[in-house]
Amino acid sequence: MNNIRICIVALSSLLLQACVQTPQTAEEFRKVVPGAMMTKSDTYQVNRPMSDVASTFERLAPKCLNVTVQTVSHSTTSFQNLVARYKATVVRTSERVELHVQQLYETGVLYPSKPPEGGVYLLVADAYAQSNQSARIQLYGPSMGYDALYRAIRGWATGENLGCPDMTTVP
Amino acid sequence: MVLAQLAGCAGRKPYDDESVTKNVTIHAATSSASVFSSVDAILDIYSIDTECRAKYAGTVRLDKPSAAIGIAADRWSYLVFEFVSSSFLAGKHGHMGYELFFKPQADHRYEIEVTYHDEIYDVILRERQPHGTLREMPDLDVEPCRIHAA
Repeated sequence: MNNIRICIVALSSLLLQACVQTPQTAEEFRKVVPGAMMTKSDTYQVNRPMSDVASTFERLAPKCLNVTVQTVSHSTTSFQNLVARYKATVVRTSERVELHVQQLYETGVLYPSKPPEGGVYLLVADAYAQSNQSARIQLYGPSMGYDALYRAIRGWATGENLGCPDMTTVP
Repeated sequence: MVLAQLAGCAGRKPYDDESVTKNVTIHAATSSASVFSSVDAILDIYSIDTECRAKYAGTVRLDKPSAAIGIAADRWSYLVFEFVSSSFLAGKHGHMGYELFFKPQADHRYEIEVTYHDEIYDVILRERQPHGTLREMPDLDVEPCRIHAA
């Protein structure tokens, strides 16, 4: 089980580094995701004004995602201690509101190249105004293992669930 | 986060009410995603002095649907809710902390709702107004008061 976990960590967290040059910015991340392994881009619409989505991102992203998480795994033959630091950034532009999530393992993971300041880009969510009462969410991120994070962002966007994702459940 | 780790390392003690009046009621509801995992919620309480120094006051295990505790009024307290998840099959456990700066007012009552469902958690602090209505209280940023363990 630990071997599986190590593989998931290696693949999902470092997949972009392993395959291509590590994206140093959110814009580079957006461009890399469509062609990278184990990533996905997704889009959905929420019936909520863009300004509400933006303010929810601004309120909840730092509170929920600027966290340091420790996970310990052990079996009869191995022991693994991972400390991951997450950083969320919300950027408002005239065109959209951007949520960037970065991840930096402080222990347990070796990076093949120097990660960007704040950690490797894990997920980017862009919110665009569709109408006065609706917004479109465009997501870029890993294709597996981050269900709680995706569900939390959808909850923030819709306003239906303002909870925080348990980041210990991510790979 | 640092304080949570300090408490975790140093060992916890049950929280003794700092106030005779049980002015804070905590409603807790947690459920894990599968029968092969579990989630425990605990609350570490720190008192904060005027120089932003934190002193560990004790821990409340949130293993009952509700608990009433007394937190000193008119003084800052620092509440750290910790969710400890364990996966039996994976032999894995993790800690997530949620921090809350809190200054109860005398003669006011507070309710804290703590939930963890489907790997999403939430902590909501509400103040009960003298006329009975509940008001959700905004989160206060801990950063301006750089807390240090006393």
